[in-house]
Amino acid sequence: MGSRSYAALAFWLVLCAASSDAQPVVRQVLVLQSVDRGNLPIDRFTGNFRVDLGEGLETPVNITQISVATTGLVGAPDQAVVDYIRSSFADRAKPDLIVTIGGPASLFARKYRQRLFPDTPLLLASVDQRYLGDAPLGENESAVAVVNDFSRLVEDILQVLPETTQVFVVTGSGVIGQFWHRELENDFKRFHNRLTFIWSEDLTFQELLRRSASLPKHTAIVYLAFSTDAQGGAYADERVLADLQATANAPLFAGQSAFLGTGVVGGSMLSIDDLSRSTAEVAIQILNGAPASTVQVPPQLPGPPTFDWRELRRWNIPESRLPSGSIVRYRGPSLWREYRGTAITAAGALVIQSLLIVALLHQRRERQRAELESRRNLALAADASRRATMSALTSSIAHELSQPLSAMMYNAHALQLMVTANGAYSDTLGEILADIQTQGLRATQIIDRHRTMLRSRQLDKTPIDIHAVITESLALVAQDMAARQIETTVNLSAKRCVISGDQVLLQQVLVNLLMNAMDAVAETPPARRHITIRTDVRADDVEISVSDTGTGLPAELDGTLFTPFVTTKSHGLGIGLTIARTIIAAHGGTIDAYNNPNGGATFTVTLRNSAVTHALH
Amino acid sequence: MNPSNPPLVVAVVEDDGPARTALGRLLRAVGFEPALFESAEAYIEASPAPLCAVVDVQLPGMSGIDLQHRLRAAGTATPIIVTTANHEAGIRERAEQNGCVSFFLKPVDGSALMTTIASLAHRSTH
Repeated sequence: MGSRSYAALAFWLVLCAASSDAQPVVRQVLVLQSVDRGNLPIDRFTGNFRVDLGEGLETPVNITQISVATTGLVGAPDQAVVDYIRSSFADRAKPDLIVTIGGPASLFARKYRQRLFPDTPLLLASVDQRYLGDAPLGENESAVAVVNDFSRLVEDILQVLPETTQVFVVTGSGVIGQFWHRELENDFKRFHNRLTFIWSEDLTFQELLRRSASLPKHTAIVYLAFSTDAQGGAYADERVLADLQATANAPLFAGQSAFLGTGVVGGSMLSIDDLSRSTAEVAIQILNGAPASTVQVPPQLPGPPTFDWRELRRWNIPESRLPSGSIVRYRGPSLWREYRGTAITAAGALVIQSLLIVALLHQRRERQRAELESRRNLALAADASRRATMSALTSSIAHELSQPLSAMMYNAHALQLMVTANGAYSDTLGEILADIQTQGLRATQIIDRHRTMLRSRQLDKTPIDIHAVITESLALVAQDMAARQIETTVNLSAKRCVISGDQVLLQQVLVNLLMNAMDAVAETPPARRHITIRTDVRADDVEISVSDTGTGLPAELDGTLFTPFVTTKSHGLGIGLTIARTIIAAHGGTIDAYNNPNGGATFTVTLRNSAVTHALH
Repeated sequence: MNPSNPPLVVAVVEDDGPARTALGRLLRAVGFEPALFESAEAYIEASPAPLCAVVDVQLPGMSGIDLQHRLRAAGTATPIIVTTANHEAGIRERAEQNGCVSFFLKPVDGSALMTTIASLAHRSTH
């Protein structure tokens, strides 16, 4: 081999070494979340953190995110969550770093530290100092803590609205709600001779909206979170805030920057963006090899008071009252700038100009009022629909589970009797059988609890005119009908029909049936797209039917039409008719479907007449 | 129960296979002779004369409630125990109107069901 070959070989070896050095090591980060998606500050934090971490690291990073606490009142047992986390790393590299986000996740990680990769560094992020308590951080642990100063927020409120006498505190009902009620009740003692605090964790979402719509004068609302209501329903901040802003008769305040722009007036706010940036910096240092206990940052405090200009205007708060150093965001055009064009055109005629402005302002106010009104109705309808969906789903899940559970329990029971009779009984066998039965019983109780929850769901029954409900439902879909070139025939009975029912829910059923009919005629040539709505008021009951000239009900759906998740639509979930049936059943009525002799399908809703006579008395 | 007597027959009308088999095992373990049917029609065709029948409400074809109605109309005295996974309002009332001796929501508490059947057996042998 000549010297040239040696050189070539050496070069090749160097290349190999270089390329194996360049082989990227994927860093594994396990993120433990406190709540499911929907908590705005935590969602914003997590989103930022993932981006900042990816950008700041030289090597690629693989993030496994697991929610440790549930949104709702009944969660999976901790042990099951721990097992799940361990099993998700069973056949791959262990995490290089565990990051908890929020208070409940930090408690969880510390409690189960010994079972959750004790050698992996743990970073407790976005956690209020109060959750860390007195327990010192371990050898391999670090924290990026925050100090939520809600007393300061209350002081901000008193400064901008000095006449405030009551504060309505929205925390939701889950673990987060309970924690903050306890903490804040203590913090707020210092305001006791000036303010009354109203707590809300025992309210359902519907009740919360209702309460906030009729708060006494000089009340302010402090919003912390609302992931779970008193019935265990799951909610997301964004929707809750939108609904609250539309219905509440008092201004909203919040202490975290993620809430600005969602309808809150403002206050001293913790900057979520700063927090996620500093957390990513700490995480990067640890991933690059710094011992966790040496990377310590002081807890983050709220930043300067920040306000939403639009909300300041809405609640008539002059900027002169804002604490010094306040930041005002979302500043809109002034009236002059907004109407300058109009003003210049009318410059020659001052009278006309002022009239014009007055007219415009009036129109604007009318429009705002109408918008507010329609948002309020929508909010209520959307909530009813969420509840109905939840009811229908839980009900069908409970139903589906009870069958296999019955079989399991019978089997366990039979086995126990058999081994006892055969003398094959041992302590271990006894324990196993007892465990199966206990767990079966527990599952049964969960199902029972859901049943009770469903039963307790009250219908908001009032005397309603069925024909008016039909007319309103038709109005809601009228535009869509016209756009899709569908003709309607409305054939309502001449007899007036008042029944006792939940107007919002019954309207939802009708809209659902109408939308289904509209989808059914989509394939029919425009000239024959026809939907007929008729009512038949009889002595015992009233029958409402919706017929279409569409493709009819496919034979394979026979008997399963009202079962959840059965659908013929590529874009549907298949729960509309399940919900419709749940609503009609709750009214003591029935819903049926059949194919018409000359094509298309008809859905009929029959509501009992007992309701009719009842309502008339 | 006296072991020298032939075991008492308990009919089960249940369309869910695993639940039907398991209930059969439990009945046998307690000392009854299970007679299993997967539909109301199959029960009517066999026209058994059991100690009692455990009938599910939701069955393909004729429902458990219809079966109850039909047996009562035919003057059959077989006590009927109704089970259902369906908790819609009014089911229990309808089952009771048709004269069921007992009503269970699924998942059924096996001990309670066996106690009910045993008390029927006790009544029939005295």
